Amino acid sequence: MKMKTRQWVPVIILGLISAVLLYLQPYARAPFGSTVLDYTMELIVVLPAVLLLMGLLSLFISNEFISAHLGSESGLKGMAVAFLLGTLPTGPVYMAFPIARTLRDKGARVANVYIFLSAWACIKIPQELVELRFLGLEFMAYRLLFTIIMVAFLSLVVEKIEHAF
Amino acid sequence: MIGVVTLPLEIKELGGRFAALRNGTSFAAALAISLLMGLVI
Repeated sequence: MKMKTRQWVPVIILGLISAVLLYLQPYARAPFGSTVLDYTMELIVVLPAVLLLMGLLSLFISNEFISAHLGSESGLKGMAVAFLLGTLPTGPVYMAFPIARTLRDKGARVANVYIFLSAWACIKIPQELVELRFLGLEFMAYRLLFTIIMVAFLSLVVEKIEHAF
Repeated sequence: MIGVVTLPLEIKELGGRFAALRNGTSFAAALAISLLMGLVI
């Protein structure tokens, strides 16, 4: 929290740039306003939910439970659990970072935190239905297969590098 | 998989090294997956 005033610098700079651009390009005002409103609403809706979820997670899920199911001894089953955990909720990724941190602090291994975040980003069950509809079963199946293989492999690579330091 | 706008938050929550590794490997993975898709479809 020590950088509190410095954290506002990018906001102020972006605000000034936006003000100048909006003054010069009046047609951009309406889409600008609705986009700002959309994201602000998303944040207002999502943020309390994340805080609540993290609170519940830290209260009711014990460290032992997390280490047992997502820790260094959890093996392939742990990776499967991490994939599933990532695909279940829908929400923006910035919502996943605090949750990932809580999982890691509670004893989840680095590989599983990586898998959780990657699954959150690119394997979503509602999103898969859209993919199926627009890109077809063959595309979806191959993409899922390659994604899962790459993510599982890279999670172990990243874990190795993280532990090397 | 890669988030530039959310990078500051990712660094704050999970550390700079993890964030760099995750985004870097995700980028490589996205390229690899797209090449593989091109091969099979």
